[in-house]
Amino acid sequence: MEIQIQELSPKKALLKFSDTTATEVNAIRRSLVSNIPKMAIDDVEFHLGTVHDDESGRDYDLSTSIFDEAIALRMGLLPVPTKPKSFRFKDKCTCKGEGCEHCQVIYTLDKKGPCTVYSRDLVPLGDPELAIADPDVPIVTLGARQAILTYATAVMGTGRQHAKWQVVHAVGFTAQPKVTINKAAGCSDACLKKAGSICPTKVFKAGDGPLEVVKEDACILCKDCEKACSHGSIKIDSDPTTYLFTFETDGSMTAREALRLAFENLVAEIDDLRDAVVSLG
Amino acid sequence: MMVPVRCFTCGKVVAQFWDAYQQRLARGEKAKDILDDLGVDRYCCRRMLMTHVDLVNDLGPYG
Repeated sequence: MEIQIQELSPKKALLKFSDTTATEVNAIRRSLVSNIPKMAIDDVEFHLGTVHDDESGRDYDLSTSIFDEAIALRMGLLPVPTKPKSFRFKDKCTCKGEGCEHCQVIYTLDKKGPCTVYSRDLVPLGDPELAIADPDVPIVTLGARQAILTYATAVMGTGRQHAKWQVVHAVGFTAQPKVTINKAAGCSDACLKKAGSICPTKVFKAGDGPLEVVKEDACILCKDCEKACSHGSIKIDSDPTTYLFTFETDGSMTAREALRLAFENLVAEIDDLRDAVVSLG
Repeated sequence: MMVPVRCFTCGKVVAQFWDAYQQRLARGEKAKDILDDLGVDRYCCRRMLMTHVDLVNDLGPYG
């Protein structure tokens, strides 16, 4: 298997896997979706009752127009920055599940209305780099004399447990498209140009000369161009040994880190399987 | 209620674009141009913002 990086930004990757099979590429996809560990808010403690603000001399009711569980769900979905290997799973930590700086992050949220509470208002205890990756996510709107005081705890998990621990989204792959133009008998340049202009992703370029293939990778295999030329001059095929693979991350880690962890995890799983088979005797 | 934090279909965090999207719509920009500019490319994420009705302020007094 060969991997060529075609596009790699902090949150997005486009890779080309060649000399491989769909099964192998799918194993990488599944590892990316469900096996990368990351932090997400899992436990939210809401304080109830009233709070007194000394500055304004007012009392605030610690309740909002959204149910507490709905607020907790919204917090859970926020992307918590996760440096690989900097945290451990709570049940495998040296603190034996009690909760320490190596297996959990605590955020405090203390706001008084009227205002909109954003993800940037969640303040991490300790390292300020652990502030939520997307600062502008609205969590709840507070009316006048409404307030919110919560402690939220983020722990490690994987996408297999819940989608909030899923690092990547929109992950998918497609077989490498092969677009060939071979002018058949009876076909004209005008016919080819007409067929090429139908393409929704603009794979072809029809300048003054004959029709050319300029963006083969952009082809979505719809075969509209093939149907448009009745002479059969355009052929759309796909290469089952080469795959275009794309995914995005939610911002909790970079695409490069996510891919590296996915590979590590896949190798570990295969090793586990081998050991299990060997132990059968 | 509030705008969903993530896209129901793909899981992209879309709520962070809500305020900017609303402000730019109010300025008279086209939804297509705003979403293209914000990097909301897929139609699953685009419908999250385009079809959301923010009712949380109407519920405020009953909290």
